[in-house]
Amino acid sequence: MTYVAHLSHSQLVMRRFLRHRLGVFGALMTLLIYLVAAFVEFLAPHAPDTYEAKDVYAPPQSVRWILDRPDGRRIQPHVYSLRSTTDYNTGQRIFEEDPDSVIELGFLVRGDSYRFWGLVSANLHFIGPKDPGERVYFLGADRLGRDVLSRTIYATRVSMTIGLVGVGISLVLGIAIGGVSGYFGGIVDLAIQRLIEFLQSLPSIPLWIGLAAAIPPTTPPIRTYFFITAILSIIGWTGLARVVRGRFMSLKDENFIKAARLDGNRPVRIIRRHMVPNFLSHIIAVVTLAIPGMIIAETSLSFLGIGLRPPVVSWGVLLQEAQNLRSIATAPWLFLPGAAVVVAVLSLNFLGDGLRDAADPYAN
Amino acid sequence: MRQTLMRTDALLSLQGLTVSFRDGRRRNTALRDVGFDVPHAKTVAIVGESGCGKSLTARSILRILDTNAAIDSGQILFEGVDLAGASEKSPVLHGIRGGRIGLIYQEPLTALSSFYTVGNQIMEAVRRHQDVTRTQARERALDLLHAVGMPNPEQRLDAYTFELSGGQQQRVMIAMALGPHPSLLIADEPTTALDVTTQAVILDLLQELQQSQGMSILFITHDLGVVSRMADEVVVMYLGEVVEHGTKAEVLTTPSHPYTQALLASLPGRGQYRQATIQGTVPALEDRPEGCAFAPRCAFARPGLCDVQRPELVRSDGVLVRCHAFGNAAPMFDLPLQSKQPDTVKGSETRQFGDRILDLRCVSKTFEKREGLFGQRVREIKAVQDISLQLRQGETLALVGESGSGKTTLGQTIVGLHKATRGRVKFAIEGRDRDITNLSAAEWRKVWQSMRMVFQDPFSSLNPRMTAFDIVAEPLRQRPGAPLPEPDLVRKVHELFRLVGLDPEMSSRYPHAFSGGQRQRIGVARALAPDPKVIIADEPVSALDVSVQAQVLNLLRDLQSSLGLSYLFISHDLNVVASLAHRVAVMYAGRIVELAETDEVLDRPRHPYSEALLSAVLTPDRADQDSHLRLPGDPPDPSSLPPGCVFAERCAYATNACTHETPEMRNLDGHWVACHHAEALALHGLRNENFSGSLAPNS
Amino acid sequence: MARFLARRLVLMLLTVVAISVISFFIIILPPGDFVDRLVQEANQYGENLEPHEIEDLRRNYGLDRSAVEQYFVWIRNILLRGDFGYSFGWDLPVSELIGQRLGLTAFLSVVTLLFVWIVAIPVGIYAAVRKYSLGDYVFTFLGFIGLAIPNFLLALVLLYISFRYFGQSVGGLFSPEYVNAPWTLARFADLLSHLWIPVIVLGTAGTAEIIRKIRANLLDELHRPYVLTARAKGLGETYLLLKYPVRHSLNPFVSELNDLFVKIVSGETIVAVVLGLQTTGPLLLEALKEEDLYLASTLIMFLSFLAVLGTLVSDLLLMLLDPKIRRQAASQEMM
Repeated sequence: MTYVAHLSHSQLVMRRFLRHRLGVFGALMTLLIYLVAAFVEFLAPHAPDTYEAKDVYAPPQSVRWILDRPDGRRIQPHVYSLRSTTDYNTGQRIFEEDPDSVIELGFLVRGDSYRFWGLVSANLHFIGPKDPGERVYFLGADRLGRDVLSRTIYATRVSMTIGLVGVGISLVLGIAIGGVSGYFGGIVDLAIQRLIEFLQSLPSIPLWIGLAAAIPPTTPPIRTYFFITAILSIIGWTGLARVVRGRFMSLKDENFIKAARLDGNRPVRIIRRHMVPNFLSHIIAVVTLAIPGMIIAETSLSFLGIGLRPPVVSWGVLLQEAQNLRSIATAPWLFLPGAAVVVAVLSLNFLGDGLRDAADPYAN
Repeated sequence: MRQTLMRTDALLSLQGLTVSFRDGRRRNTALRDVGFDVPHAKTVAIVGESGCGKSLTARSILRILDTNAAIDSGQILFEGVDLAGASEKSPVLHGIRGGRIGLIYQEPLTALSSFYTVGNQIMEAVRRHQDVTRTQARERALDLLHAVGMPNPEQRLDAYTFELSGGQQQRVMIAMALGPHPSLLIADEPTTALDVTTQAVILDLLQELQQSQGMSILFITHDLGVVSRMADEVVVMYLGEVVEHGTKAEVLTTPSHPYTQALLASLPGRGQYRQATIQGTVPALEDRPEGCAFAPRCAFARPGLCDVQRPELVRSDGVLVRCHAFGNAAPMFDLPLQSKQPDTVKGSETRQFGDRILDLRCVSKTFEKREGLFGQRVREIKAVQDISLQLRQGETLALVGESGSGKTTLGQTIVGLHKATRGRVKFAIEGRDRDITNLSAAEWRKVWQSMRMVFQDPFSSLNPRMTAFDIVAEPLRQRPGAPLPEPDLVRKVHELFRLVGLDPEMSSRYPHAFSGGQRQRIGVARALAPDPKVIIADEPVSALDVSVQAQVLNLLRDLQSSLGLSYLFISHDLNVVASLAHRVAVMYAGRIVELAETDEVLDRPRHPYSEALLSAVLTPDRADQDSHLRLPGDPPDPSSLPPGCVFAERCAYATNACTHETPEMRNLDGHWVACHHAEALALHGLRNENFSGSLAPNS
Repeated sequence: MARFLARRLVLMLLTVVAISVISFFIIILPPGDFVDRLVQEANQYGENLEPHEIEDLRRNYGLDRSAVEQYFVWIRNILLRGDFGYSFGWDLPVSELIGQRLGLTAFLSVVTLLFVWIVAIPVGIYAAVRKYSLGDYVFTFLGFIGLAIPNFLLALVLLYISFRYFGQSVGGLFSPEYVNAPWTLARFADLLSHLWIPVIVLGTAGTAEIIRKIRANLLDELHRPYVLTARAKGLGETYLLLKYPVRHSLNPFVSELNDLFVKIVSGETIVAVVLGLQTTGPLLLEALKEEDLYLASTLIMFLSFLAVLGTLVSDLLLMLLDPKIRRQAASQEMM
């Protein structure tokens, strides 16, 4: 008790959060995923759009560590290069690993050149073949012979930020509209409540599809990206506005808010110093739990071919490759971006759950 | 060595009952070695402050403990069965639960389900324990509702809880518990959530039923007045232990254990006296002291004995006491233990008040509630109507009334948290009377430096995100004009902490680290920060235990005499009001019905409602109530008030005129009263003898 | 009660009007129309249309009028003749195209909703009552996974598994011989045998969510005083559990029912595309891509209408379930 006595509210929230093991795990995973999103160019072994015709649908190569050479054995990560033959009965290409042809791998190697964040030119890669001319497919190649792993890593940036930006826009709308609703009350509040109820009663995906289909295919990628986030936010704000309004309303009647008024606080300061800190942790939790929905929505739209379009790489765009049964039957590794979606959504859900439980540190 | 009051006819007998809570890997003992008997057809009361294990004892008897609590040892013998040892699935246990032992407790609204009709829930209890048909069960339920005095029982049988008043809900609970003819009724704070007048009716009912059915009652309460009204025997518990057990007279009139003595002494008395208090608060279970549990708070504790060795329960003059002063170590103590007499607050008896500081003229507040899909229907709720009153400097004016009487709304309207619908409020500020009804936000902020508020619930009135220091400093930082330099601010805040009896060292802590009493002190310090003249205190002590309540009341009294503050003291508790207020205003359904000096109102009430209210007041030395003064029915709905006198439909003296004409507030020798028959009535107060009048109660 | 219903119906009517406006303008307001598509296509084949030809086409399709005018013409035809317009892409009246598909969508959505209930309610109750048991952990884990997998991905995975391990394609709602057959008992049986995959795909996320909600609601309710009262009455544990806390915990769940139904109707669009169901989904997607104005608007309108119908049903259900709301409805009657 004496130890807890000096802790602030945020420290209590943190303590409670740290005790939520799944939440902490989610937090670490989320951090990791956003780190990947930040350093895609460096982490991906290859550029997302480079391809090799002979490697179409190449299967994943397994990494070996001990290299037997005439001059002795040494520890040297490497893969065997792939040799393909065509089965003339089925018309399918069959890949075989060739133990005689070794591709040596290294860390911090030179490879495809890129512009980091579109600013700095570089060609350093965290891992890749030592020989810049070679290619390696840790998780297979797609129908054009592009590296699925590299493309999935690159897609992380687009898919993870679209959720963040979408939720950001929703949050701004939600706070503004929910705040207005809660602050003015009366007719304004009623009208906004009815509007929100109406929007929430509409099926979102057909609406999204309707709006997304209206984006001309010729629109530049960046603009498409913002159109899509805007479309996702059109419905997304309603949930957040409800939460903000609900918190606002219940806090308005709290005695300590009345006391703050009597202490001479002006409305702006009451909101900033007395109200916001008290619902911030709830809002953060709700926002975190809203991101996965956005990610899934973007992925779904792009998958249908009406969201983001190539050459943009997002998880949804990549999953278009898996659209027909024949290609996934030949190359099940095309599901990898799907696994990325699941991991990202799970992590964010764990994190959000932990935050929500911790937001009220006095409850049991 | 186990001791109880000797008897052979105990219906229920607890022996060495020990219950603990699991908290992570630790187990904290919550009930320790609890033993007492409940005889046939008698009422045993368990009394103590919150956290002393009263309710836990009740739940242990019925074996309905939460999953994290377990009975470690001991026996619960009931009609020859050891309930403590019965298996969870035992049909005998399930038959006794609800069948032989009934339970009623606090907050009947949450204790009943809102999804099933009252009749359904009563019939279920009957049919669970008696082999009867649906029709028979329904008849029985109807009989039960009759027996508990439910108005229109046929209709109520098909009503849901949310359609009943609090008193009616508690009647349903009682009917349900009595359905299968139990031989023991456990009543766990059954009237704590009710208004006093309703409490009086429910207590009458319980007593009546006990006599007619020959049941035993185990009555759990924190209220010593209720104990005195109901109990044959009293068990005093402290921190999960029985510390004293004897007959009502023995325990309440000549208390033995220092805790019992201190508890009785800290009850608010009449007049402006400092009350005795118990230092500190009941410790948490994990901080259970070595030796005697009460030792750290005991004025007589002997170091080396009380803080080391746990006292046994010993017999002393027929009473069982768990205290070293009554055991083998008695020679170490000067017997009898004598509490120090509390001192009088200086200067308060002279009653010299200054000028008028607050002046209300016909203040009304009506809320508009919008209903319907688009808020097209507006319902008017008349919360406060035509209130006129004055407050003088250095004076305490109490606003008394039951829940829903509008006293809180009035307080908040005066400080401007609500805008008055009609009427004027004048406030003497900066040497002149100012009308503060229509002020701009900036002007209000200036007024709020002189008029402050203390809130009821010390948990919700402090911002959990700010330190105690920042909470108290807030009004100083937000003061209009030049900000206080930081060193002066710190000095001032620390001074305030000392003023309300808190250690300034603790000011860096957050509210969750303080106990209820300490939080309320922080609330008082915040109110005092800008050197106010008037404090509106809205039920400042009603959420606190008796001993802590006494501490805060003393603080308020001391501050008034040293700083010359004026209090508008809002309370439902007439005992507290009697001890603190100079004048009392009684509110009913949004109106003041009577306003006079405290002794005038308490001893010579002139309004029938005041009389009824006073007759329901319970103290340990005033347990006989005039049962003919019980109020029938419930207060009117503020959105559809009756014409004429708002109290008329419940008034025993009402005549035709009362239901047609609204009585004006009239001055009868300085005693303001709004009743058509004020002169003619001879009403009972707390102390006066009946004097003859012309009208007699017509009920 | 009748008045309560009447109010609800009036409200629903207003909602439907608003829906029709949104459905129409969402398609017509963005730049580009069906004729633009035709011109584009023609260009791809190397044909160039003359401006007057393009104008003729526009007039033919009624696209030369203002958006507002087109809307009112559309609505007038619906109200007066039950004519929902003409599909440019299919060269057929919209009503002929959507009739059966809409029915299948509604059927699939309702079956999915029932599936979610039947699975989620008992599992949710079990997870709450046996909190922290092995079963609770398993369901919690499955629930998290179920929430994290997008519908279409689950559909793809199921397709892959059945193809890979059972060597068959499980897409569609009918076996090939029944696709265009008239309704018979055999066709219905065939439909049912194909239904389980779309139902599982559509229902998984909802089931996971409802399990979590019921568990959380019930955990809140389990320690309420009325449960203690019931226990103190000597009632059996299972009986009192079902009669009191479970009943109380279903209330917030029912009010979220329409959210769930909206999500199912909404998710159906994508799942139908992946699984190749003969429902509204693929038709809508196609219509949107081709700017097939009346077909797309009508589909969006009907899907929204379906969702609103779900709201009405859940409101009525809530009224039946909650005495407080029932009494309110009854008292409004009296006023």
